Amino acid sequence: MPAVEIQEVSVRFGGAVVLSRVSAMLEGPALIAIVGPSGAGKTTLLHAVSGLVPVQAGAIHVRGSSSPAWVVQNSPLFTRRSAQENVALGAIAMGMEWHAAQADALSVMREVGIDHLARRSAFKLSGGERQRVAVARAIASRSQLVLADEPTASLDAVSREFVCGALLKAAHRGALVLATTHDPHVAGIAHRVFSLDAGRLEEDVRVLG
Amino acid sequence: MLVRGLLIEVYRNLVARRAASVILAAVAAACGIGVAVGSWVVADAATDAWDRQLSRGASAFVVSSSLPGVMDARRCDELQGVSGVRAAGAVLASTTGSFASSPDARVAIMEVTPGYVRAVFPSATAALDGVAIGARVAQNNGVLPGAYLRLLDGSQSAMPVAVVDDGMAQRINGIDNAVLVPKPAVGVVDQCLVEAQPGAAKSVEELLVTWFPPEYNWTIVPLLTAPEFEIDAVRMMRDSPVPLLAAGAALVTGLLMWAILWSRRQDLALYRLLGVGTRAIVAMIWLEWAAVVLAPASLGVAIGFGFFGNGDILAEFRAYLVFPLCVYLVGLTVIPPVAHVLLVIAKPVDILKGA
Repeated sequence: MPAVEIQEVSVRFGGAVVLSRVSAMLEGPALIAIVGPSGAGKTTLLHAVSGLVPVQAGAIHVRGSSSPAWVVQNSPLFTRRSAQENVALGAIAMGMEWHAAQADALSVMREVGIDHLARRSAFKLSGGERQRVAVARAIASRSQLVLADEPTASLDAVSREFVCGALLKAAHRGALVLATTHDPHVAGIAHRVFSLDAGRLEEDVRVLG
Repeated sequence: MLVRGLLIEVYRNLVARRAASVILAAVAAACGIGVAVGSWVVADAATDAWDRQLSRGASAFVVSSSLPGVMDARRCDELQGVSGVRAAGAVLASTTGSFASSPDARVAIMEVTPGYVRAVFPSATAALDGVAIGARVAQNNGVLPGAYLRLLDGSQSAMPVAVVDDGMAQRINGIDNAVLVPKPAVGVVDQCLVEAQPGAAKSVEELLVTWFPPEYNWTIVPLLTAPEFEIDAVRMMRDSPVPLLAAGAALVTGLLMWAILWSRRQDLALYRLLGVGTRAIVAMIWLEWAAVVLAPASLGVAIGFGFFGNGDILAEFRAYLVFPLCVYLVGLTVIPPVAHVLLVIAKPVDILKGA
């Protein structure tokens, strides 16, 4: 069971306190949304969970996953590769054999409903399609921890629906999906919602209610 | 990442940027050809100078075979009958000894054919039919002209010694510290020393063709004495623009690969974001470098030498040709380590922010 345990974590950039003694127990499989105003530290929290930024105090324990998979706004792809190859790279990076990874990628793309994009160059994908490919790549990587930073930002309604569905699929496959978002739709479909404001992280029962 | 997956990734990366890969490989190969041809041109110039010296300037040269001890000493002596040859001879045997007056001072005692002394001391005026002693030996041991020497076998020299001092740069290193004892030309020798009029080398060469079988691989090499005839191939290579050309070629190739890697820094960061280890990414950079830089550069060098080079010249100047090649190839090996800097620059967190 994937889980992230955040204990009294503080992060400062220069003199500015971004996170102040944040604590939470986030257990999967689940889609957990983290909401809050811009600048509240949502992205920093994800970076801290993945180890990309150091924490000045406290500790973060990640269980059940060695390397997180990322989905971000305008997810970066290998633009000179096909969509299928991009999805497969998630698995290849984790040690899957190349040909097996290609077959698995196609299967995941079919599951997420983007198998028609398999052969298309990533360079020619729209923003929404890129995001769905990125989610498919996260699923294909078999990572038990998916970190999604504003995954539906600047997407149209249809694309947003697809991306949300794909994130839920990742959770249903056993992953813990942590998604920071301003999008009420993402928060609406999430299994749990946390609110991060003024450096404090609290579970938001209003959304659940 | 598995090794097989890594190799396929390298291949896919090259194919994905096939135009850049082809251009880079072409530049590396062209530079390799350029360095090889440049090196060859300098070596060729040195050979030309060598030939000019033999045909016009040099008056002394050495005839030798690549097979040791196959040249007939008698033939050496007979070279004196060739038109333009003043003297020719060879060393039959040599040992070291000392004078009773200076037992600690070692001198070389060389048994030579009669023509050797004249060949090695072309401007000596003393009578040279008997034992000849170098000026340094005579000075160090107080030997006066006209003295008789007791030889190793206990006998006395048949003729009084002649003290020889060429009065110019020595043709053979240390020859003024030697005692030259003439002996009949019998047996085999490693090389013949020939003193001749300028241009006589051609006549000697024509004769040698009829005397020695081709498998002797005999060569005629000028004995370098006068500074104006001195050919220093190392200096020629060093002073030529070829090493600079090689360094420039490495720089151009390096900058091109750098530019390509720089345009891919997001991809490198993305690999890291996907969980590919730094070691695997570095291995990918090295493999791509080997495929599109090292292999084409080596092929270019091979083509440059193979199509434009001359086997004899390459063999003669091999040691000197290595220098610019090393400059080029070692210069190229700087690329991948420098490219590692990109891994530091290309932080995964930056591409998460859309940098």
